Amino acid sequence: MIKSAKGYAILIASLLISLFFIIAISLSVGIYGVPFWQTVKIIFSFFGSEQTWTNTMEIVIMNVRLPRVIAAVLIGCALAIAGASYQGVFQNPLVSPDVLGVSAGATVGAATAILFGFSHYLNMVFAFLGGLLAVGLCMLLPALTGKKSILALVLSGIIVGGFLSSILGLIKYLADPYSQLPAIVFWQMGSLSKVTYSSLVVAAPLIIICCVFLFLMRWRINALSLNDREAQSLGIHLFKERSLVIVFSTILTAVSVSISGTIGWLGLTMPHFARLIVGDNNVKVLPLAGIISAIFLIAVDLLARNLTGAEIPLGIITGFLGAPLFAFLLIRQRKIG
Amino acid sequence: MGDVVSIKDLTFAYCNQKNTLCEINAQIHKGDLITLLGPNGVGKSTLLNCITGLLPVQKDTIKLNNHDIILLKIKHIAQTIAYVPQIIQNNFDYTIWDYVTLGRTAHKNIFEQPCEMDYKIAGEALDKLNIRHLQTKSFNEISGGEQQQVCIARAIAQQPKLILLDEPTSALDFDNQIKVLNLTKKLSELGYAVLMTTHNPDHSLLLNSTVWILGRDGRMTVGSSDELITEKTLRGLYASEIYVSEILSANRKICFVNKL
Repeated sequence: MIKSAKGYAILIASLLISLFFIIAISLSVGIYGVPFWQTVKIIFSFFGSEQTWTNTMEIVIMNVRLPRVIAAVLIGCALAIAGASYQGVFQNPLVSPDVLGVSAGATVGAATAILFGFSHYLNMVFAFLGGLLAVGLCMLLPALTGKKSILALVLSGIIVGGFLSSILGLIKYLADPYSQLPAIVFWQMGSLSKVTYSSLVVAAPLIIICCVFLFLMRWRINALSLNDREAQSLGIHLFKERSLVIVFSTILTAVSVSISGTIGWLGLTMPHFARLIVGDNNVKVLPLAGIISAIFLIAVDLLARNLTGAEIPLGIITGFLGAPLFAFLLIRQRKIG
Repeated sequence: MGDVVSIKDLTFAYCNQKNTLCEINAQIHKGDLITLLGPNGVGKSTLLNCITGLLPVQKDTIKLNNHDIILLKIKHIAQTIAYVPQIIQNNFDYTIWDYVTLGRTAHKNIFEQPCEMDYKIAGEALDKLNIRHLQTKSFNEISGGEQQQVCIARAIAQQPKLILLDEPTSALDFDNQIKVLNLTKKLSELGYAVLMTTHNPDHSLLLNSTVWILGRDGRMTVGSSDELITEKTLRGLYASEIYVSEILSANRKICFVNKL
């Protein structure tokens, strides 16, 4: 475990360098390959350098691959930071956007918007409302049963998730099988292939703003992660601060879902991965989880694009990698229970 | 009127129940050392929760530094009162350093990070209890006695006027109980007002503290340990045959029961 501030700074710096390289690699590799250094030159071409590449190369990189890679960075970051924040404020290391049903709620919201033929922006709003409704229901159940344990919340997540998947099933049943159904199924499995600059224009600022707010609150989340009585005696306004964190995290999840569909497992595994390296202090965990997750999602998207001739949905790959990774982390940690 | 806390005619009931607390009057001054005694379930925790502003009380019944508690924000209450909880394992494991630094929460706004000054204060709190060597260990790996000390260090880092301890000795072995009692005495000598709940009346005698006794009728008696820790009051409070005698070899009064 890395404990010193210096070690942490070196870790973050080297990860940022790795992030840059994997971005460049991801931009180079594909059906239309571009040499690595040409890619780097094209990225930095706005500083004004001599054109040594073909126009096709520039179009492929700047217009086709770059929005996708930007989306991977943003969504990777968003889901991991949302996951770490949820875990903190629910005082529970086993929750995540998936476990709490937020992703499912957002997917139902997005699917509803597709069903009614709403615009992309309304799609985002519906995804947010669906996510918020899901997390609200998730919090309501343990409150009604009077049981407040790690398991109670996880169980109510399963209940809410199960209910939402029925609604999603109903929506799919009602949807037009030629136009709407494929779009919904696509949403459910997660993919970055439909990301364009126009979808990023709204999503990117929202994700950045919410990430910045959660980043600023990351020390506060430590206090919130203690039990309620303790947090209050430290001077935390529980309702206000917890709600704020939940709303920011839910926006992050919903915006991600609305542009890329459900990409599972990142929100649960990436914060745990970060905790394994630097301990539980969210001051260190939040940034680290965000960067690791961004790198991981770019790598997954790289695989999704290049493993076979056709694109593999991201949710499938994150599931294949995420589930065993989480099992491994659980065995390493042992202390969760 | 230099009271840290003054309680006047406090009556409190949970909804649709009879009064848990009934017409309670008491003051806490700087440097006071108070033990709060009472049978299980009489409302000791309720009283602590009223004092820390977690339960809705009536207007002008509890004052903190002369301000009505119902008008104060939770943050401002936390700047005056620190609470040392009964030890429970957290789901997250922080280093002692990070844990004690959390005591600074009440002095920061919602988007602020701890600064050099806060770390200095946290470090001083560790030094005061001579537990600086624990700083890099994690909370869940140290012993119960050490966890209790760390919680007290966090309370000191909060820079309060009053430190509340909720049964600080309940989970500890005999030696650690004595250590924590010594620590509470030291805290009051350092100028903090200290209020602790305990199930052992002997603690009141050991500390020679002010005693608050909360009875089953919800009324509270306030007095010195000499006045209140007597066979008469204790037998009224608990069902057992309790004796209080002067023990010459220990040079103090002691509270005990007969052979079982």
